[in-house]
Amino acid sequence: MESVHIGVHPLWHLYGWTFHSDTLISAWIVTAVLIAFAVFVRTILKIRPGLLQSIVEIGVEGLNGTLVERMGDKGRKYFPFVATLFLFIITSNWLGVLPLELKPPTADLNTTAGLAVLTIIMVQVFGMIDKGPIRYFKRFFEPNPVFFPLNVIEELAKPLSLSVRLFGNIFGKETVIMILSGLVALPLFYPIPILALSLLIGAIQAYIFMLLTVFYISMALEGH
Amino acid sequence: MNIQMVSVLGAALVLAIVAFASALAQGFATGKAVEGISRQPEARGPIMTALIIGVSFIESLTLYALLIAIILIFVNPFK
Repeated sequence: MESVHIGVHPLWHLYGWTFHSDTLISAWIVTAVLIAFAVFVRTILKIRPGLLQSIVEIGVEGLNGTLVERMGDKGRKYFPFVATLFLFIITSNWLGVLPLELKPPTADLNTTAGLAVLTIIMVQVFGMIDKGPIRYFKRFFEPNPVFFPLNVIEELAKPLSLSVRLFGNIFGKETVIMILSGLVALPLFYPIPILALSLLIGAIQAYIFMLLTVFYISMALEGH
Repeated sequence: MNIQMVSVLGAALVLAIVAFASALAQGFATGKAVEGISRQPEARGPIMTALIIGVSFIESLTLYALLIAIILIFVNPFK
């Protein structure tokens, strides 16, 4: 068990800022993979879709359906933001399954907190663009001005729960795999069931993050 | 019993108790959802969405406990 380091990141110090280098490098790899995949799929688009194009179209149609079901036809506007979140998170989560010395970026609280804060800020922006700032901020004084502090706390608790949920799941999975790999007998065998489970967990967590984002956006848009 | 031992014990206890309670709650929720689907199989989609959102809210409480346990063990403020 001598090689178990939990929550320790190699650091870079640049211009007075501190970076977690492993998180940063794997986030860049995820971004590069996603861009390469998008460019590749763009080149093979045809009128009669092949296998890969059919899979991508099923995903796009499914997400569009969810958005339209919750918000009506104007929900299509939010497709790029929500789909980007989903693709980034699911690719990050699945990066931990590959037998490389790469940690998923989502196993670092900094990444998930960044995503969650971005999501909540974008929810406010979408609400303001859709309803106008004054009509939007009336939401915080409903049903009664007395509820203003409660509404603000509710809004501030959203990024906390979003980020901690994603981080806790992926970090817990990574820790279990690390501890099982440190066992003396058959260190290559024991992590296999957890690795299989981690594919499921990664997909479900990305789906939940996306679904809650859609949910928050639709909550910001509805009302008077 | 020094502060280190108490922290480790506290971390283990907080996770055990919260995981027990949240497993119970998720079991109730999933059971009810399966019951609803078996009564009305055509309502599967909305039930699944509500189930996943509800279960993820229950689960986030466990993860707050995990965060407390991590803080107690790795960045103990009482050291």
